[in-house]
Amino acid sequence: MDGVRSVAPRLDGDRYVRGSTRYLDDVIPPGCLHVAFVRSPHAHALIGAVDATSALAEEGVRAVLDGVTAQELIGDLVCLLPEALTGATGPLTLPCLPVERIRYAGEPVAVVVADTESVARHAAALVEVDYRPLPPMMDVEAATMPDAAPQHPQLPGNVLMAGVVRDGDAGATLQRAPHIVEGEVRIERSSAVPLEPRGCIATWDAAEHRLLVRAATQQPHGLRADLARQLRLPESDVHVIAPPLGGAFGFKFPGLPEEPLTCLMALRLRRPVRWVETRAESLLIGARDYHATYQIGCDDTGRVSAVSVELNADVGALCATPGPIMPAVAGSTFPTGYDIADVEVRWRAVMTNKGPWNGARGFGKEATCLVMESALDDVARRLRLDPAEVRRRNLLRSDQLPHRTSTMTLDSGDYPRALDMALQLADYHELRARQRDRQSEQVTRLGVGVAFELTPEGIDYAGSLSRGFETATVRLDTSGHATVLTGVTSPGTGSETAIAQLVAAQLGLPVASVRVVQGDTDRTPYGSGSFSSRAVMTGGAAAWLAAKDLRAHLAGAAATLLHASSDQIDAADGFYRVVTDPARMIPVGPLVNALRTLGAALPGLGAPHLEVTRTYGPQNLQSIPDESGRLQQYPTYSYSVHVAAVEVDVETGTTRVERLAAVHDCGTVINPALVDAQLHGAIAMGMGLALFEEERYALSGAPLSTDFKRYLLPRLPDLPRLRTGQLVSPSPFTELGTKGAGEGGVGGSAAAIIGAVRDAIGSTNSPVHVPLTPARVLADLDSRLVGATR
Amino acid sequence: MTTTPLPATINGSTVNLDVDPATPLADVLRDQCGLTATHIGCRNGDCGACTVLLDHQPYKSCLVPAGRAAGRAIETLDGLAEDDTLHPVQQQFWDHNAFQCGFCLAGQVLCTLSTLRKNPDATDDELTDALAGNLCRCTGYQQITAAARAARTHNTER
Amino acid sequence: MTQAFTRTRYHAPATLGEALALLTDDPDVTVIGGGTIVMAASAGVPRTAALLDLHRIPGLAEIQQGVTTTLGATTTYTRLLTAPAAPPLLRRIAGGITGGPQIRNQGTIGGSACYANPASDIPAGLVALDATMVVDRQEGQRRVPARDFFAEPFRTDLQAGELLTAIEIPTPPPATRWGHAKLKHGESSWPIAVAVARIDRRPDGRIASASVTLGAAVPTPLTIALDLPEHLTELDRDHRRLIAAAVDRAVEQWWSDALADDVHRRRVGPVIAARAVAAALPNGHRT
Repeated sequence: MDGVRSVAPRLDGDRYVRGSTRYLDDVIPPGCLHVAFVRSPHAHALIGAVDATSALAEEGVRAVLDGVTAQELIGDLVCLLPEALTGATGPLTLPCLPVERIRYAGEPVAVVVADTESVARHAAALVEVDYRPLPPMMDVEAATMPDAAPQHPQLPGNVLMAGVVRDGDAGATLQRAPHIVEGEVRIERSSAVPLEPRGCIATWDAAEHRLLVRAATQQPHGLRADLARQLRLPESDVHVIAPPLGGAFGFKFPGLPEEPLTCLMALRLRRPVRWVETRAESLLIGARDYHATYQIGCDDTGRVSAVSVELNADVGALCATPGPIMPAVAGSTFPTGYDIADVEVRWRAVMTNKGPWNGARGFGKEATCLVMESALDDVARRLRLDPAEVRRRNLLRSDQLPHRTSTMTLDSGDYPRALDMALQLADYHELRARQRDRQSEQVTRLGVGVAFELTPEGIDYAGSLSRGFETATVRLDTSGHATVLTGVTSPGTGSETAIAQLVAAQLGLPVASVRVVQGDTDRTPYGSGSFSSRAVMTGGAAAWLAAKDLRAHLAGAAATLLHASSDQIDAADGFYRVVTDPARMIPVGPLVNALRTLGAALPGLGAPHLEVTRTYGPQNLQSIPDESGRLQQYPTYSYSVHVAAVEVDVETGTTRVERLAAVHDCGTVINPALVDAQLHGAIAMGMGLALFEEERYALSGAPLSTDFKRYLLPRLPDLPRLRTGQLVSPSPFTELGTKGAGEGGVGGSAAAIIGAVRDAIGSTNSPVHVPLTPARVLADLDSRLVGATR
Repeated sequence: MTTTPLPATINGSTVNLDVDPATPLADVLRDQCGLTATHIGCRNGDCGACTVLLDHQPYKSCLVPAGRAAGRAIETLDGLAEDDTLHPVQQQFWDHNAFQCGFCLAGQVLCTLSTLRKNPDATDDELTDALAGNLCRCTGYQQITAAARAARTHNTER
Repeated sequence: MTQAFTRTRYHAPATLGEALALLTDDPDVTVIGGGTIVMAASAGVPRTAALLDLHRIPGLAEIQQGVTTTLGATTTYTRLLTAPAAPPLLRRIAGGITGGPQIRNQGTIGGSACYANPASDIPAGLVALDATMVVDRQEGQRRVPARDFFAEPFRTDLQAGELLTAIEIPTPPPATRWGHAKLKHGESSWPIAVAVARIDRRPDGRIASASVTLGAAVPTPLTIALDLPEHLTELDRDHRRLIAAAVDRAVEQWWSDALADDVHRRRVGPVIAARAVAAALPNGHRT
């Protein structure tokens, strides 16, 4: 792998910086019509008649479709959630447009198609819907009351899923523990929020009898399968293209109704149809909303013996994205990288009248991190120990790995070393010294936080279309170039650059001679797209293996042509050479041409095939439950350690982040610049999660965070210069030793920042309430001012 | 829809468009001129993905009525490079891996460029301030900062 | 109207007279100085039926310095930052506007004033500066003190057919010192509390009068007179507490919005007011 690792510049970087990359909304077919949705103003309501008369009378309006009509024309969305967790008999389905009941404010009720987007939006406002409002259920408590209105006929109690993760006997161990600390973490609703919103442009090709769909999606093949089923078309008559995305972070999985409905209208009207959501519409979707209570037991040295957690997730209205599975992932990731034998996590995902969930970076694991790190900080406080020391005493050591729990097999790593490196990178001792010297009279308080994040990656979600396997085709041409066709996509991470590096290294080509084709169901092999940091780990590995086969084939041909033996052939820089006599060489282009024209004819030259397809899946998986019911969906375990230093203004509650350091281990690294960049972005997201981001609702159920003035994202002035470092512990279970980079850092940086703020203000056992807005910081401070006057 | 003529210079070329003057300039550039490097991220003036330069100064074009651009020199990201040669600021962004999905590039590049044109010796704080209006969800702003500072060092606009 | 949906109409008159006539003829029209507020459309639909754009009217973007500094209503934040004649306080306020140089280039002092969003920076500054708002109508011109101009949240004293054309800032005595403090929740946030303190001193250096004007934390800017010791050069913790208490007593109602409710603003508003006062003192504050 050493020969592969390099800071190769971004493939297609030229196009990006020129601004000539074409995102979804940059290519609009001539004669395209535009969709806008009529969206419910009520969070919970029954629907009577839908009257589109006024809307249809507007000039330029082509069609209006409501739920009653739509149910005849398009199949339902299907939620692929394990029956073992839902307890439902049979698949959970949802109509694309509701017929009886509105389940969230902003839910699409009807679709309007018009000549321009602005006519469509205006006409949507003219559609009259007979709503009969019902009391909205805006939290888990309300939705699980005995008389709560059922949000789905197969799930009468509004509990979508529930499960228990258990190792050992946490209850018994806690009873014996010398110290038990109880705590609470509340994570308010937030979302992935890529800068480019969702959108879809569908065109029916009548001549070919095929549907062409361009969609801002992470999973073109998954979307294709859903559309084919819902529109009753053969899958091979649906062609989905995922153009370069303006970010995804889990926000662009299929499973929401807008894409299928847009395609339906294209079919019905025989015209291209476009839908792009507004920012306000994008902020209807959530991805985190958790409440956890826990008990953690330890001895006098801070060595933790047991953890028991109750985790409730408010997943909003049911939908068919993978979003709702995230609480199960959160439950399965306990107790992260700590050596704790007795663990019990009782988790629930409850449906309410908030907007539905799509995925988000972290995929539930960031919630696990926030809870575990809060608990470890509680141990530190109880025993008056340095929080870093508590981590050191409890993290699994590298000689303990691989380490198996009821849901994970942690593959490799050196967690304590990463901790030491992170502390050093952050100048931890200098920070603590400065803290000790700080006058208590000062208006700002310095706080330091430390957090460990375990990031299981590469999920094989068997039973769904999000699999841990990937297929790649590598093909050569006579100009000496290679083309990789891959089922992974890149939401903007640049993973295609790393894939190109891998193939280039195998084939002996310059990286610039490798083209990567992705995001096109007609051109690429079937794949699962991008999520769970899998593009290089699975997609890259499949391409690597295919290239390896091709290389052997080429080397054999070169040996024949150069009158040497195969083991004497070396490939580099676009040439295949005899190692002992480099003057005997042949460039790749002519070598390919020789195979094409003389393959199988000239003795020793091998067959004239110049294309190999390989499928790859990592080991260390238990994709369906074994005899004892054990399920392990993640093959690899990246991790990171984060240190944060903050200054909290105790008079206003505002936090300034002074320092952020992180050490990250994602196994083998192909392109360090790309991996570092992922960590930077994840840390910024973690800051957003810790301090700023919240999708708020009025009591009526109306969403309040409708733009970026209300849903606050970190900007450049908010961030200190990040200090990052890397450890490389290859995975023994993957072809390349990679573990997946991309998701890691969100939970850890959030937890470190939160820990630092609570350290600054001297929190004791107050609930952790994320984001830690100034009002919450002040409330925490106030709660300890018993009897004091202000 | 009533339209009015909009004489302007776009990326150095004189044009006379027919526009609905109340339409956001971002939509005119994208829909009528095919200049799609100016992206729509929020329509609220928050994200900066729609940034263009008008007479060398950056604006969020989702907020600028097209009629306002009459007689102005408009520069967009997609007009910055001269044929085969990238503008030096663009080159720095590529060299420093200063983008991931690329959606925010118009704002990051054009704000860097316009600041360095006016103020070749901009301090680090001034560069930070110049970029404060541009949201990025991918990069954590680290490499963007590195690229902007490198562009300052290698500034050919002096 | 026969067609319920009409695209936004756009007028860009070349003279003030034309603008005032249009304002009378087209009652649906919304005036824009910069347009950063009115053009915002996160829901994807225009919020107004017609735009009246003032950018072509000569003189409306000018700054004239004299005994009074006259700022044209369409003076942008950038102009406040770069024009030597701009009052230093407004220069400081302009530098802290959220949204980056792009918003500073487009947003105007008049636009901000006429929007009268409590959670904004400019109104408190104008009230603190004892500004006079110059209002034109077809029938003539009138002047309104800034403190009377901001009538309610999102409503000014402007009547139908009237335009804000200029803001007159009296030049304060040379011994006057200003302090400005602003609180927001991270870079993306709009203002939570804004305070401008003013301290006037006698020739011998003793404090003659002191006040702090609070904005963003209250529905309309509020100037609170302060009783400061004559020889005060810095604030200690007790002084800050006293100032905060005086501010708290003076405010009848605190502002509440999506980013901070009235309870929080009541908590932080007085703190920011005290910090503004500290900034107006030669030695600032110590803890």
